[in-house]
Amino acid sequence: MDKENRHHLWLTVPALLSIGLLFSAYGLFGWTSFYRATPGGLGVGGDFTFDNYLRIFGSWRELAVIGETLWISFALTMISLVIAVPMALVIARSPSRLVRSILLFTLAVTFLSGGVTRAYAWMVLLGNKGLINLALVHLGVIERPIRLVFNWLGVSISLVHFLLPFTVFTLVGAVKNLPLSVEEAARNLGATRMTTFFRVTLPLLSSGLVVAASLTYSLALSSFLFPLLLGGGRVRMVANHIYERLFVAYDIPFAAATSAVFLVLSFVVILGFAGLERLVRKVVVR
Amino acid sequence: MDKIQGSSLSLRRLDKYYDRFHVIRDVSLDVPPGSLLTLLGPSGCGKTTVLRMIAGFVASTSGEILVDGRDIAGLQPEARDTGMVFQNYALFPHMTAADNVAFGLRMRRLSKAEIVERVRDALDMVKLGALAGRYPSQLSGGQQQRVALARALVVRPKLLLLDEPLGALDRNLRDEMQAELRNLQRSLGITTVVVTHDQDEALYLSDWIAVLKEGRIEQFGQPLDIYDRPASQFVSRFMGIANLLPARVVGSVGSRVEIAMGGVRVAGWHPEGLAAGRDVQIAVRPTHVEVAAAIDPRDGFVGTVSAVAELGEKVVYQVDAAGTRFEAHASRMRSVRRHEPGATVKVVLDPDHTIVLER
Ligand SMILES: Nc1ncnc2c1ncn2[C@@H]1O[C@H](COP(=O)(O)OP(=O)(O)OP(=O)(O)O)[C@@H](O)[C@H]1O
Ligand SMILES: [Mg+2]
Repeated sequence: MDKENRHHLWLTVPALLSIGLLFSAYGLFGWTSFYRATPGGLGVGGDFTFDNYLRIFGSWRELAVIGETLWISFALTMISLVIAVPMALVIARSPSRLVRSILLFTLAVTFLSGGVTRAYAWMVLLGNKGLINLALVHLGVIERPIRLVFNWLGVSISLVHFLLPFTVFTLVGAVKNLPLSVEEAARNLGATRMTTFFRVTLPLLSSGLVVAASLTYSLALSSFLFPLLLGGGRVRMVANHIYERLFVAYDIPFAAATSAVFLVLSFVVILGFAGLERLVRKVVVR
Repeated sequence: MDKIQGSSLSLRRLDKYYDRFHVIRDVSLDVPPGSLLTLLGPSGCGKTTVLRMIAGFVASTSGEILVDGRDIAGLQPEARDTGMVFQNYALFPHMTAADNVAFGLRMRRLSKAEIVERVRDALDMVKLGALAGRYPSQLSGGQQQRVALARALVVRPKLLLLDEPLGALDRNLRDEMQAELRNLQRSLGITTVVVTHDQDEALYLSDWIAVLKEGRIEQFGQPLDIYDRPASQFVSRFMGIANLLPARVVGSVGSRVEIAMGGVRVAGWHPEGLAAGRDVQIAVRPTHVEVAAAIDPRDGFVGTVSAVAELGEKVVYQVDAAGTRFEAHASRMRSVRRHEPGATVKVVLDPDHTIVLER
């Protein structure tokens, strides 16, 4: 390595420092999971112990929060994909500039507005006296307002809205790489639009779908704000659960243990996605 | 594969607008069953658009596409029963060669046994039987094209459509595939439309050629007709006629026209003859221009050789005469006398191949 390059190495110092700081914070937090909260709260002490982990794996309630988060995130990922595929196809393929612009703009606006703003917007829309309920009652579709918010439904709606741009933008790239003529060849050989979609388009997109799914899933797993604001205390995902342990129960070691367990499980799932992607690439796209 | 019952193809007053751009203008033509039609023309003239209108990927603005007398212009692509070979082959990358070929048969819900048999026949036909299990990415360009051809033909379509089928292949492979394509098309008797911008390819492959210019049919006819009797300056130039020179009609008898150029009278050809005094253009292929000795007794233009080049089997002369420049090609193999640059010579045109074009 010449002098010039060694000189440039100094430029990485700030990055290394911040990454180091972040990881030591994680490490420290993880380390506390092997101790106990001191009776007055805030502190950590006692002997090295696996108690916190035993408590998690011994309690259905604790496991349920983790399991529910993993499952709901999976469901939200699938819903986002189902909505995102047609959107990505239109954005990448529509001959009409106007249609493309409108879709892109709608998604970009979603990106730009802050989380809290959006959460309140959803409350205004979904609340018992919200626009949707008012409209449905007014139109006589329902007699009394139905519960659209402060439950899983409201949380899911807002989360899909949050996740969708990430899913769509990841897929647009994949769709753009898909030659139109291959689909035309299928139509030419007698396949309907539908058959072409399932036998040609989707298989060729599968690698991109897996990538989009793993990104969406990771984002869904770490949801905190929307369950907090739109869950009304009834809906908790892991992040909310950990938050409560930390700032309501002041049980830092237990929160740390929960985080650690969740982190490991999430990694397993994400690795699963990566494996799936490699498999799909091998089987479908050559 | 068995011989296919060829279908007739007629285009009737086909038009296509992209927004306000009129890209196909009033295209009409008829080709009999079993023949090969080439759409020939320079880039952007609308060849691909016409082919894609026949396949159903581009909606025509107006007009009819008749296959065996039935208008298919309103049908979805999958209902048109055409077999298309795309310029980039468009093979399904996630399927083996055999599965690619089987796709159309599966869509037609044939029995497993029949599919297996027909796929084998089709791959044998294009000499790819041994590579049935390969994926497209494991095949060369030429092999991919054979798969694409087998895939299109195996369903026994009414029309075979090919967009610049040989464009991506190198010279030798192209010549080989040209011969193979022609033999295959003739032996199957399938009505075929080929898009190309290569006049030699068109002449070699076609029963009928439609020369397109800016979305319009400039000339429609059999290959030798178009080669020998181009109907316009555009077609002349496109068919490689290097000498396009201004002249004036002196008189005509039937299709034989007498014209004057630089004070010299020579004879030329026009289908109906032309009235005296008209300004015209003559088109003569360099091979029909003879560079003779200055004392030659025939009618011709006396001038000076300005350049000589020997290119393989021919000698190329540039001769300045009659206030213009002629290009002449002579055979290098025949022991004709060579003329040196600066020599005084007489340029003699073959009257049967001196085409008189209206201006
Ligand atoms: N989707 C489109 N929108 C607008 N104009 C188009 C579209 N597709 C083609 N055109 C125009 O139509 C004309 C004919 O195009 P086409 O692709 O048929 O030409 P071509 O003869 O096949 O040319 P090439 O030899 O370059 O392939 C061109 O002027 C082109 O710009
Ligand atoms: Mg083209």
